[in-house]
Amino acid sequence: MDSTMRCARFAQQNGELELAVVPVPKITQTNQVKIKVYSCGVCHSDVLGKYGFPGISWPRIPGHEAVGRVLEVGSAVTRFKVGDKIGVGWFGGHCATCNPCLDNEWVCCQKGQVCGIHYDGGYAEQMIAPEDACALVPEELDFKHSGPLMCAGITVYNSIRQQDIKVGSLVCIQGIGGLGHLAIQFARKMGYEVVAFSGGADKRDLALKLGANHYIDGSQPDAIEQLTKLSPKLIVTTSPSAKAAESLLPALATCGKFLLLAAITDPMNINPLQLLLKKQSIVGFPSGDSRDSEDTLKFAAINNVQAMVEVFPLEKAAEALGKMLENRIRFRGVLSIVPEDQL
Amino acid sequence: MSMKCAVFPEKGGAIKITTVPIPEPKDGEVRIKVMACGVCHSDLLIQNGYSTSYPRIPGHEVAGIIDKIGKGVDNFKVGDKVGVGWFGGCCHEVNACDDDDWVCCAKGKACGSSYDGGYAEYCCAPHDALARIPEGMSFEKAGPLLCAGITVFNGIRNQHVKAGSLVCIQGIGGLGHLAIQFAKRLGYEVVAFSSGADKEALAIQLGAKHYIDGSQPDAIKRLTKMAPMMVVITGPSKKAVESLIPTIHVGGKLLLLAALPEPFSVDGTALLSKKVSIVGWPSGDSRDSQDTMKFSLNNGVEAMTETFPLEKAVEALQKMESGKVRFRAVLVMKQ
Repeated sequence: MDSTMRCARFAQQNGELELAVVPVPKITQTNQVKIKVYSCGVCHSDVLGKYGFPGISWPRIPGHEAVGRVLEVGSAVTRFKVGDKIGVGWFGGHCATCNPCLDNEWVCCQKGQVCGIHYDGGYAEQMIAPEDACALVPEELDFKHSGPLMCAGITVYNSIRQQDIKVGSLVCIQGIGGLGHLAIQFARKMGYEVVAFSGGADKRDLALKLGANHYIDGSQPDAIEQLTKLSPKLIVTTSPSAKAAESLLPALATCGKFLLLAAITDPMNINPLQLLLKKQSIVGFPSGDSRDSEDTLKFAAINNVQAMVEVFPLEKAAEALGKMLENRIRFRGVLSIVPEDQL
Repeated sequence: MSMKCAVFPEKGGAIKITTVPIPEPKDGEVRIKVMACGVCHSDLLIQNGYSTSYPRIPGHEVAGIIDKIGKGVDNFKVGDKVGVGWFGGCCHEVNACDDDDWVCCAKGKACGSSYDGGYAEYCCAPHDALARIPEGMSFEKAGPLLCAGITVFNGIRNQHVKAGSLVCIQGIGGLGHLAIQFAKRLGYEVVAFSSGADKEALAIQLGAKHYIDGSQPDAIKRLTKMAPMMVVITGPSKKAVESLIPTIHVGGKLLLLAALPEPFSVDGTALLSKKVSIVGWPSGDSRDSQDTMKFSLNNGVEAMTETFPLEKAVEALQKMESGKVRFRAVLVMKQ
């Protein structure tokens, strides 16, 4: 086996993504799994690998929508064997002893590891991850399309399914991008009536094709009025804009939930009287752990939920990241670590 | 036949004592001989425009005895001891009502706002707004449970936070002093959070296990360390809401029960990373009122009241507004 591998990485904080040849990683703990990476999705939060995140160190290979096959397992690994098709998402491991872990909230582990932040991730030919961060991928899902399910997919699927909104209710998906285009599919397949809300008329046909029952062009002056009339029981915000979130809240139905999935960095102004009088909640939800990933992948396989991807060879990682940041990808960039025809 | 009452003569007008005809119950309504009526902060909303018409008799913590039944009322009779809270009846037809959300009915009525309320010797109300007062509970103690009590009890019990969890009650006033008691009796470990040290002894007596003086510089740090699963906001303070959200345990809630007059600022990433929710809850309907009174009687939860005769409604309102009442003013009618 080769002792070096190709990767794309951030050499130092604020550095540009660069191609590099580095030693292949080795298993150092008994609970680790070594993965031959076939593909890795490009996620907006990959840029945290560049700008920084608590606990990060450089150089750092990003990538938390990695899918591949098991090359080697540590002696304590029980859930996986060589050859298994597995994936790793944002959730990169937990401690099992802190209070959130004891409450079963692995994603909120106080010592939680993030793949591609605390250890090298999937923009590489091989990677190492702790067993608890890995999710088995159904064989019927191909490498080309399953990467995005490891972050974008689980983020929308896991959060929506946990809100206990009655089947058949009207759900609004705000934003049609990496998260939104999957959210529409998942929501429809989960049995909801879906209204897609996005700026512009250009995504209407696609939204309907993906499963939306209604489409509202957010750039129209009566957009909020239209949405209010439909009265969604759940509004899922997928685009990281405080203003967009604030503007949609008035349209929420009585007893409705406003689900925050995107990392909105500007503060939002919330009208307390509306929340109180209409018995509404604003809920923040952070993706999920590997168990939720397995549920997401299984649901996608059974119900034909598929990411719309644009494939880039690993060598074009910087270009893929740039295009994603400019919002020009329809709808998820995926790095092909192996030749694309092997995906 | 006429009765004494306290009324807001016009929007913005000061409350005044006057005499008006005794009202007659319409179809579906009953007339209550009012024995007591609590004074609630939201009565000031009525003064400032939140009323379908003027002059308007406020009062939505009404406790009394039915003295006349309107046509079409089968489930109540003269002599029944009943109360009416904010929920003043709904249409039972539109979507919210279909979903059993009477309080959120788009055509819902509020007692003392949509129609004349309990700052009077008699008050008429639709039968679905009535809550039976349990035997053994005085009218004076029942009144405050119909708005302050139900707001905290019904709000807290509907969040399904596991028994034994740490719950923080912010604000020790009309709502807060009841919230501490209810939270304790519902099986929670209670930390009371209020500005100043003067309410600590009382908070502990009411059932709080811990007390944090919010005016101290390390208050937020201390509460963050305790990491409450739920923070119940009873005092309408924007600063309290914004500073307390970060203290909440992973997966926890901020329960908003007080009507803040202005928007508050929320850090979306902080909510997301700790899976925290902000929940608004609007009191409850007459069925919840009955549950509130029954629970209170069974578990020794009682409002701390200060009584005023109806004629002193002006003073009662002023004292409530000044924050000096310990902790609920109640108008009691001469018998």
